Amino acid sequence: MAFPIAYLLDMLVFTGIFGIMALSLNLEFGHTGLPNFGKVAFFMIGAYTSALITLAGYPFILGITGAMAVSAFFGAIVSLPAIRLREDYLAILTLAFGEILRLILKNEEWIAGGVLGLKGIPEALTTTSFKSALYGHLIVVYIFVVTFYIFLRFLEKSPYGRLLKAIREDELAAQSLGKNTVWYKAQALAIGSAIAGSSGGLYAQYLSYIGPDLFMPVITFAVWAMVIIGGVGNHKGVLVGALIYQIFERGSRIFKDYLQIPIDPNNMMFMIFGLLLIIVLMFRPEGLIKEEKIKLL
Amino acid sequence: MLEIVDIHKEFDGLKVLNGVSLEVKKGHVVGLIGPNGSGKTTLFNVIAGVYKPTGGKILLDGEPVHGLKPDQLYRKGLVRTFQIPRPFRNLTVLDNLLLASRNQRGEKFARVFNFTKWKMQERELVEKAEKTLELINLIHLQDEYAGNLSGGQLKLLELGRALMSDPKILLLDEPAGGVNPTLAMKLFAKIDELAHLKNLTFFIIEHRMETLLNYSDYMFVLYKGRVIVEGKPQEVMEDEKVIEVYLGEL
Amino acid sequence: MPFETNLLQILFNSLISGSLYVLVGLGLTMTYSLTKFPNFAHAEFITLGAYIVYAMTDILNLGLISGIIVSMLITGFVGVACFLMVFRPLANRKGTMVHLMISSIGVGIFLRYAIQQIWGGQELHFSKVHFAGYNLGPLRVTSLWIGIILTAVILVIILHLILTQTKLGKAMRATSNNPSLAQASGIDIDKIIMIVWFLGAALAGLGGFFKAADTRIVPVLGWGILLPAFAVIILGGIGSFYGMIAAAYILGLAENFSIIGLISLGISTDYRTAIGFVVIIITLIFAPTGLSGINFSKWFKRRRPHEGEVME
Repeated sequence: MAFPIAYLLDMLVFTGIFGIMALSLNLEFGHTGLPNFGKVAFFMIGAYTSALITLAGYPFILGITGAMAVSAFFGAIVSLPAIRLREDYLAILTLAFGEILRLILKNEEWIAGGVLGLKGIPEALTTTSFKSALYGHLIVVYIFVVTFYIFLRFLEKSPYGRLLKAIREDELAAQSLGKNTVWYKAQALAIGSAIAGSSGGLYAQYLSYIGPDLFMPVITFAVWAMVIIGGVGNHKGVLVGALIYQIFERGSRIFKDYLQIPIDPNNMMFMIFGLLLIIVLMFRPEGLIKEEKIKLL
Repeated sequence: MLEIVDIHKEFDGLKVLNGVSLEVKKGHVVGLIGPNGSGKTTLFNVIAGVYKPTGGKILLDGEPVHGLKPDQLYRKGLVRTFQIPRPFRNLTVLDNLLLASRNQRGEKFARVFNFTKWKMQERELVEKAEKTLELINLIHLQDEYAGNLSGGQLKLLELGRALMSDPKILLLDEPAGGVNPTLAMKLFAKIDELAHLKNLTFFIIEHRMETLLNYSDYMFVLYKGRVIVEGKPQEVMEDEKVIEVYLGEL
Repeated sequence: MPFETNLLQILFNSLISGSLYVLVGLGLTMTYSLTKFPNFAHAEFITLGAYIVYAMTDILNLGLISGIIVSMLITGFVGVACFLMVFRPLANRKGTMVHLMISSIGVGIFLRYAIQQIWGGQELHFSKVHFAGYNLGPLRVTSLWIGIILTAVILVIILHLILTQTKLGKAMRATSNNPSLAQASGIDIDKIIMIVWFLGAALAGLGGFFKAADTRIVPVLGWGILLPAFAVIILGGIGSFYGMIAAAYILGLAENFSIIGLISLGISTDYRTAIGFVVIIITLIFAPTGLSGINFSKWFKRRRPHEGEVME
């Protein structure tokens, strides 16, 4: 039966797309200490930008580049007020930013179809069969995952990454050692947003449909859960976190088909997931895979 | 070198500094002493750009620097340590020191991927950091996370970071607090040596004035937000007002 | 359109929204300042309150008043349980503010899906309770709306009296100003914090019932009010009771009056929910301490700019 394979491939594609989101949050929060609770906003900006570009007939690569550029631009804009704020205020502010953006896209039909969203978004690779299309998506998505992973590892293993971690550890001390921390935090948000934007672009071309209701704050929380459970500060860890999240989400759907239990599997999975998040925070706050000690030379 | 003219600082109407004026000369080790609550750390925070003064001027080499942020002051050669150490806990001791060095190529995003260049510089900096670590007796802990150090070791780390940054003037907030007395003496001897050999300037807060007696060129006594006595250490020690202030505390 | 001209109705509607925000905002601002983190699970306390009233009235056939009382008790206990089982142990394990925030999201997810498991995901309505409507001249009122406003007003008066006149109120204020000092002066701050969590969750549940009775009961009920509630407590100044009340009615007025502007500009009235978000952003950027941080007497004196300003 071909179905389980397709199911697995679909799950891996989602893991990749959200894994990229988790990587970007890991740069922002895991390394720089910026609690961005508006992750979904940059995901959404990327998805819409890339969809609009490709729907206008331009190639996918241009769509993704545009998605990254526009997301980075918005990341920089949001960083202006946000990075001077205390972490809880920054979290609430970025959350509010995401909600405003969603409201605008929902109500302004002229931008991108309003409530109805955008349909028929071209895929990155044109393929003939359903199955080869899935493999195509898998390849495209994982090219991005691997590229960003390598990029972020290089960043982490450089004086630049060391400086970001110093800001996370103690901003005033970093300032006293001459670091313009505000500027670096703005850069981290812009880079993180660009990466999140590319993930949005991949999402749009994979689903071929996007609408405002796909970008609820729950996506932000899911990405946070991936980072916390997988391992804050560890890029491998957050990718594992993304996989665990998908297993939870998919697992509940599989259970629904095969198991007869008095409790709805979907509800049960999310209840367990909420508990898992709490348990990890309580008993293993560093996550499944701990941050490594980095040696630059 | 560092001139402080009539500095005032108020918090919500509470006057902490009441017109402090003093001068730190180049190549000198200058002590700032005074009982608890006299405003020593607040004065440091004002000089180092953590707080903006309510009034007054601060001149570094004749140039006004009050109101500048800590990172701007660092670039002008003024580096400080904290009374309660502020290490980067989840970075190694070595990385803590390396972070303090100036003009690192690899800290610019655009140059991160030009590894050959920054790695060359990094190698030189590691050598320098290892020398500094030997100086402050922390070389055996270089790969340890800073968060695992003891209180005294953290004080040394603070000093090491400040030394790594090639400053013109160092503001040290109780550098010997919690450090064992033998090592403290060694440290002050080293500070004295650096000041006179390398022409570095030190401005040091100390709670116990005896510590600084042999190693400082000049001393200011702060009391209730004002400088009440200044002079050579020996003179200051024997000043009636100073004795009164310290006895008053007891 | 009569809608546009009926200022009295808009004013009345503003009072309703403001009163709801008072109920929901109280617990949020108090727990934020006492336990030092924004509790996102507050949204689920709101939702839970509505569902329990539904269970009492529609399933168990209890009267409305007893249904509300049972609901407030249960929601209050859930609030205390969350504090005792999750937030306090986590804070004791040196969990950071971000950890506490995320854990509250975990608690929220757990509660939301538990609610969905018990009552299902589809929308529900109170079928056994009905609220009479009257026309007072141009004004349309229902007993529910009057109930909301009266409840908030009575609550504010009672809390004001408790805070200013009783030993408990004194202890609450002391604990919120300086917990360690309060503890040193013999106040049982653990007890105070638990009372605040109980009261905050119970009132959130009450607010949830009112909101649901006015609209419908859905699992995301609380989430819809949470961000405006954050706007209210940030505008009021975190931990400020009176600031929060003022901000609640200011936001109520702004949201309802914005409808006139939005309609006349031909823009979707959906945007009125954005007002809360804009309030959050503007307050955080320009006056992070909110209304309570503004020294109003200063405006009557000659202004001395930037004095005593602390950069860090």
